[in-house]
Amino acid sequence: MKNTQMHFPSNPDFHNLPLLSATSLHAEKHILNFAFSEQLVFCNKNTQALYISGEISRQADALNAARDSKLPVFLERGPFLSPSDFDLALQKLQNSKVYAVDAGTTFGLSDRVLDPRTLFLLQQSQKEFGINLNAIAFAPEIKWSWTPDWLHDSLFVNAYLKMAQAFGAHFFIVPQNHNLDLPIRMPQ
Amino acid sequence: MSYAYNWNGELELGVKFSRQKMTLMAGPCMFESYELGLQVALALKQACAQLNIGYIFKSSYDKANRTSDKSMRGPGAANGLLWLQKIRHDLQIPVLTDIHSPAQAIEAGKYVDILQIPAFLCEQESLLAAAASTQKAVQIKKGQHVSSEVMRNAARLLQKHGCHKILLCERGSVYGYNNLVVDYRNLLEMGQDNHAVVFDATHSAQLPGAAKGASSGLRHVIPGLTRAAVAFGIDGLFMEVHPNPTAALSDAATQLSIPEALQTLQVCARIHSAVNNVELESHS
Repeated sequence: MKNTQMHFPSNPDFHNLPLLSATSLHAEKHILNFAFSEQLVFCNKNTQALYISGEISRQADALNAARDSKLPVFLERGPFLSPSDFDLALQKLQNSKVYAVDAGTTFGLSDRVLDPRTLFLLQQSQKEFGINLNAIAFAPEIKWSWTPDWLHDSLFVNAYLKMAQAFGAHFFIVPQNHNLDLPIRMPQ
Repeated sequence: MSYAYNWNGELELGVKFSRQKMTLMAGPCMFESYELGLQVALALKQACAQLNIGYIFKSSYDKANRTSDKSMRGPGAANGLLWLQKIRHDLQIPVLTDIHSPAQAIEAGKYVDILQIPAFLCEQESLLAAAASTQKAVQIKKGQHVSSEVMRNAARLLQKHGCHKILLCERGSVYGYNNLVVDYRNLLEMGQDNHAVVFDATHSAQLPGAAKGASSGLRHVIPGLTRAAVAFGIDGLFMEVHPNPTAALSDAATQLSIPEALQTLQVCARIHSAVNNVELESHS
C-alpha cells in the first residue's frame, strides 16, 4: 500500500467541480469507509484511500490503524468537534497523507451548518480540505420530527458550496438527488 | 410497571431498573487502579444500601477516544476486565464498562453485566450488533449531536440483533463549540418505546475540549442537573466518582468526590421518594 496523492477530477456533470463523489461514498469503490481497526482486512489492491466519518474522528484505534495502513486518509470533522479538537485528531494521523473534510457543525437538533470560522481555520492550516455537502444536507443523524421545513431547503447546499469555494476548498462531496433543486447553480 | 421492552429490568445480583426504586451506575471514569476502584465501590455500595438505591459499579478500562493522544487510556483489557470481575465477585454487585469496537464488545461481554456504547458511536451498527450478541444489557449514551428519535432508532438496531435489555442515556447535547446543555425533553422522548432511561449526571456538565487539549466542565452544576432529572423521572442515574477528582487521570473537571456524590444521592433519594408519593396519589 502506498501513500499516494489523490486526484479530484473535475466533473463536467457538476459544473466542473472537483468531486470526490457525486453520489455517495459507498459508490467510491477505491475508498474504504473506515470505522474500526478490524476493517483493515477489507483493504485490497484496489483500495486507494480510507475515509473516516465524523462520528469516528476521535477513536484512537481507528486513527492509529489508518495511519499505519500508509494509505491516504480522509478525516471528517465530527459535527460535535471544535476546530481545535479536530486539529488534535488530525495530528494523530502524523506522517499520513491526510485530507481534512468538513461536514458541518451540529446546530441544535436536526440541523447542521457550515461554519465559515472552521473554513477559515482550515484555509489557514494550508491542509488540503474538502466539504461533505451530502453530510450537511442529509446527515444520517438528522431526524427530529419538529424541524421546520425551511431548514431543508436545498438552496442552502448551493450557498454552502459557494462559501467553501471562497475559502479554497479542494474538493466536494455533493448530493445527487433529482428530487432536489440540483444540479448545483454555480456563482456567475 | 415494566419499563424495558421484553425485559423486566432485572440484572443479576438483585438489581432491577424501575421507577419505583432508584438505581445508580457509578465509579471512577478510568479504572486507574484496582484499589482506587474498590475504594469508590465500597463507599457507594454502603451509601446506596442505606438510601435504598440499587448500585452498579462503573469504570473504563480503555479510554479510546481521548481528545489528545498524550492522555492516558487506562489499564487495558487484560487488567481492567479482571478487576471488574473481581469487584463483581467480592462485592456482589453488577458491573458496567464501555466498549469501542466489536472485538471489545465480545471480550468485555464475558465479564460485565452492562455494556456501554459511547455517545460518538451510538449509530455504529456493527458495534451495536456485537454488543447485542453477548446477551448482556446494553446502555447507549445519546450522541451529543443526535436527537432522541435517532436514539430510538439505535435501540431498534439492538432489538434487530436480538438485544432487548436496553438503556438509553442522556448526557447533554452540543450547544455550540466546547459546550453541552441538557435537554430534559430527551428523558421523556427516549422512553417512548419503553426502554429504560438513564441520566448521566457528570458528563452532562462537561465542556468538551475546552481546556486546550482536554475536556473541562462545570462540577458545581451537577447536583442541580441531577435533582432535576430525578424529579423529571428516570430509571437509572449515572455518575463518575473519584476519591480525589482534581488528580483524576481523566475527566478531572467533572468527576464528583465521594462526599459530593453521597450528598447528591441523599437529596436525590428524598426527591425520588416525594415524586413517587405524588404519582401514587395521582393514580389513587
